[in-house]
Amino acid sequence: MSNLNERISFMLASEKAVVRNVVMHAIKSAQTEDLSSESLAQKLGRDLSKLIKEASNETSVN
Amino acid sequence: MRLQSIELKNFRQFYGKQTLEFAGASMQDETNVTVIYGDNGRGKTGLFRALMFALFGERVLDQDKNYDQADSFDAKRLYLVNLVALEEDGRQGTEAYVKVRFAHDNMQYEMTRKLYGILSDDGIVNEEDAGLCLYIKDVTGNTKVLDHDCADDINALIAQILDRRVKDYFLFDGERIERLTKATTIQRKEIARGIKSLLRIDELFKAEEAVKLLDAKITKELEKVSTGEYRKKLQMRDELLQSEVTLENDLTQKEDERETAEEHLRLIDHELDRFKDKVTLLEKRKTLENRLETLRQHGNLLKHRMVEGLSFGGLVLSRDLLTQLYVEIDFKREKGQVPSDLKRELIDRLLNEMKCLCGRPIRMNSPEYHLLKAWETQVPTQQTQQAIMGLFGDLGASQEAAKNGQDVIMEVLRQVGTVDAESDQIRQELAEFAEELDGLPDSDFSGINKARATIQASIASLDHEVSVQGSELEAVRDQLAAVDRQLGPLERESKQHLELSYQRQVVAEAKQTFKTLIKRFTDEMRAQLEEKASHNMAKMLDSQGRGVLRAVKLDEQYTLEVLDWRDREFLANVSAGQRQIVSLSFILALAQVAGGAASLEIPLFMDTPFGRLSPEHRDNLLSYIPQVTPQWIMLATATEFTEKESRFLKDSGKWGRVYYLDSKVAGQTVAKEMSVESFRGLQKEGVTRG
Repeated sequence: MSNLNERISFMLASEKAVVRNVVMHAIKSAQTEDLSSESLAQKLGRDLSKLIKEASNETSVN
Repeated sequence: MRLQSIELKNFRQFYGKQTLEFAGASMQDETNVTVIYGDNGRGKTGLFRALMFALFGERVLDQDKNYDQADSFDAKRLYLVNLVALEEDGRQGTEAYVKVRFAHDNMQYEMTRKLYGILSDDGIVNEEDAGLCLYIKDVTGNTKVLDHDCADDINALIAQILDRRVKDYFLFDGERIERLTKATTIQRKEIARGIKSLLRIDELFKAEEAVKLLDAKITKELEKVSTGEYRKKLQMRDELLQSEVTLENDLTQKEDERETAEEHLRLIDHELDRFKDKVTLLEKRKTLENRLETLRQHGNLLKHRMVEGLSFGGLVLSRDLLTQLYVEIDFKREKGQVPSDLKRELIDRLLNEMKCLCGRPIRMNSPEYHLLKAWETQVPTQQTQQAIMGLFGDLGASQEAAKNGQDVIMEVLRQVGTVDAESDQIRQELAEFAEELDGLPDSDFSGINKARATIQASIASLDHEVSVQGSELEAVRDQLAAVDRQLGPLERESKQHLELSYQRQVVAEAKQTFKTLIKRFTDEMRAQLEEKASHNMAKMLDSQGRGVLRAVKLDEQYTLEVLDWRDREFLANVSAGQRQIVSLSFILALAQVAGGAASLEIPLFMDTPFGRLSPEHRDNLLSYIPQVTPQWIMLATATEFTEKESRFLKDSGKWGRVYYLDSKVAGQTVAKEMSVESFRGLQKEGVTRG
């Protein structure tokens, strides 16, 4: 799984930090949580603000 | 994961407690091949089942499910508790368990799963789980024990070591290998699903689906709280998103319908083939019936000829007498007695006149007189002589006729014999055809052909709909992209609900990114699979195969193809052995790509691997597989793993252990370890020659 995620991370390298965060978070949640797509969407919705904030912090640090 | 040992007690064919240890149990081991021998039904596959039962609690293997008869397999009738032990213990019940010891990431594990079997009075076997336990020991020697109460934790831990969804890929058997290259449309879909699961692509699709749903949800929320042009555009976006989902679903449904229709078409063609086969039988039967009728008519003709031949019967029967008569007359004829040079009429005149031809008188009782009297009795009259000569001629002709008659009768009898023999053979064949034709389907050609035409029309119609809906979907996506471009400035102008607006933008972008990411990732996975499978194939093919086959190719549905050196699709032309190598190369590649390494991370079980392979293929397999797997557990029969293979494997230096699954009594398998060094193959009774 780690190899796969590393490869995906590499593929997302050129994307904006916030988009990268959302995509990776969605993938990791799908990998680790035994949830339906609907439940996964709700979880992503709940985590979205936090993901945007983290990306904003990353960008400002960089 | 390094498998160290497996201990079975009363599990499947294994009676009592049996333990098998595996070569390559640690990374330091130089050997990594374990050969497990046994005739069919001795429990070779049962060992892999035991491993899967211990780790996942699963009773059923993928191999148990026959794809053509998916409904025919009844898991409830698959008993795990040894039936001999169960019969012995009766209603008291029998405990069975599988204990697996393995190492992973510098940790030692011992996983035990038990079950209990009871035999009811009416002979029904009832089995129930009787607990599980996992010992974990780290490098410092600390031990942790998880028992039945921690089943969820145990399952989660095992899942991290070996994903349940990929487990079946590590038991290679002939059926699985065949299935990869001969799959039907529906099976191909199932295989593609398995591959996506193994490569974890299905998780990408699931994540993408979740992001799409979130996009629609945020758009709706924003629409509710917005006003003016901005709201109108959001409404439009919402409608377009709904159209996109509807069209995508419709498209998937149509594609599914098309696949189902194609499968029906395949089944109908199969049915027609079967029918064609029957028709061929019917045609053969008709030909035979016609032949039988011809023979019958010929037989009748022969009967007439026999009756005609009977007119010669008297002649034929008296042929010897006739010959005797003919010979006697011929003898007299030869002697000049018939016809005689003396004329009876002259003798009669000389006797009447009692005077010789010279005029001299003939006296009574003189020698001349007695000579004439003797001639008088010997020489028949002219009339009689003519009759005798006539009879001689007739006898000659009758003899010839008798010979011809005999020849005719003999020929007729010979022909009757031939006709009878052929008729009997045809009757026998017709009886066999009758049995075969019993299963002739009621449907007629016309009905089946009509159904076929309907399905073909349906496929054409579905193709058209898929094409139209595909274009509509593209148009909707273009409109969505246009609306998204228009929304940006409107969002900035409206300054409404900035946070929610930003979330919508981020999620919309994430959705687009997923589309590109999945395409790129799957293309890369396919390229990797192709490269590794081609490499594996080159390593395992014999020299002749390598001269023809260049690469393994996968289409977007992960359907397997093989290219020759002119890049032509060549799978349909390869031999059964080459097909097996192609499939095996692909399965190895799948495990290599999924494991993310050149070698596999999991022990590889291979059930009767040499079935259709040439000697060179076998040798290649024996030298290559140990290089790409940490442990190779080969389940083989004595007929396919002979002294030659054992010598070759011994020379590789990779062969560590060999077990013989002995069974003197049905249902009581005992695993006997033997010496690799002295192993030279098995005699029929399972004794080593060394």
